[in-house]
Amino acid sequence: MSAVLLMSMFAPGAVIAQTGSTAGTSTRPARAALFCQRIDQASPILLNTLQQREQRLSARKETITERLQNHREERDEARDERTTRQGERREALFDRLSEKAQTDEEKAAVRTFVEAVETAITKRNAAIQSAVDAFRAGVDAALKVRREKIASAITTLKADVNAAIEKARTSCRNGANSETVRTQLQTDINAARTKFQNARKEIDKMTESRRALAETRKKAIQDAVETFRREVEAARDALKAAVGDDTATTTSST
Amino acid sequence: MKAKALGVFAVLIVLVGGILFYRQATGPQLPAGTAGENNGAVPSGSTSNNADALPPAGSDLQAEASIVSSDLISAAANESATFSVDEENFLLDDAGDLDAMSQAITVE
Repeated sequence: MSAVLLMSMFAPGAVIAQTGSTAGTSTRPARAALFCQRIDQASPILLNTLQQREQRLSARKETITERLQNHREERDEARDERTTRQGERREALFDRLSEKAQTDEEKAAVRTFVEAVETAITKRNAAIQSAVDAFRAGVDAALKVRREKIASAITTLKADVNAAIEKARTSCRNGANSETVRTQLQTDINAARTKFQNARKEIDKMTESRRALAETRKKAIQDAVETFRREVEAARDALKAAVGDDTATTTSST
Repeated sequence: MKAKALGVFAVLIVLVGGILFYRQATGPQLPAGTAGENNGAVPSGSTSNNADALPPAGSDLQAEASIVSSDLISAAANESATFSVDEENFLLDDAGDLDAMSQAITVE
């Protein structure tokens, strides 16, 4: 019975529900009167609950870090596979092109075209890799900031809760009215919670920075692909011009 | 006299009929290069008489260059599309834990 009373003075949600059905509203004045008697035993329960939540958060942090790492490795592997497939496909295309070249002049033009395309691909891949690296570095930095803010918010929350409990203890020791001390503690705890929730709003701003990073990456990749398109078209037009198409240069400027 | 004239007429009819039958049986003798009148089959040797309809030298290579370029550009565009996926929503999976943290402190 005493355990239920103690816990209900500093009650995490689950405990409130439990005591609500057994104690009822008629026990509230009695509970309030007992507040100062039980505070030394009850406060560790609240602090312990906070600690458990913090441990759960820490475990989640590890899971997220691991998942992020795995996710990036999977993305890299998929990209490597695509690059390999595209390389093989490109070889086949170049072979087909070479078969069409009959004269030395045509063969030389095809070689120039292939070299130009390979250079453009190397440049495009480097630009994409750079965009991906920048995105990941940005996400890592945003995640670090978020975690630092979370840690800071939790530290502040724990300090505020401890300070509130200590204040209540002091009031009880000084002979203050038990009900008054309990009400004050409720007020202080609510203030600590509000402060934490406000900090939480700042923490959630990571969503915006991640969106901005993704947008920057998207733009950089689009630019790289657009540059690649222009370079390939220029190489194609040069090849056409080399083998006698006077109209070739009109298509690559779009 | 009348019988002689009829005989000549009959011979002429047989000759004309024979010629028409022969032409129908063997087909017209087309000049080289008139492929369109021969169910699309280009007669042997007709190419030399129809040079304007042929692709210029190197046009196969030019056409292939266009195909290869389009293919490479299309592949690059597809590659870039794979990056548009928002891939890391799980980074905020701790939101529930943060909510639980603030809900953990209640004084009854």
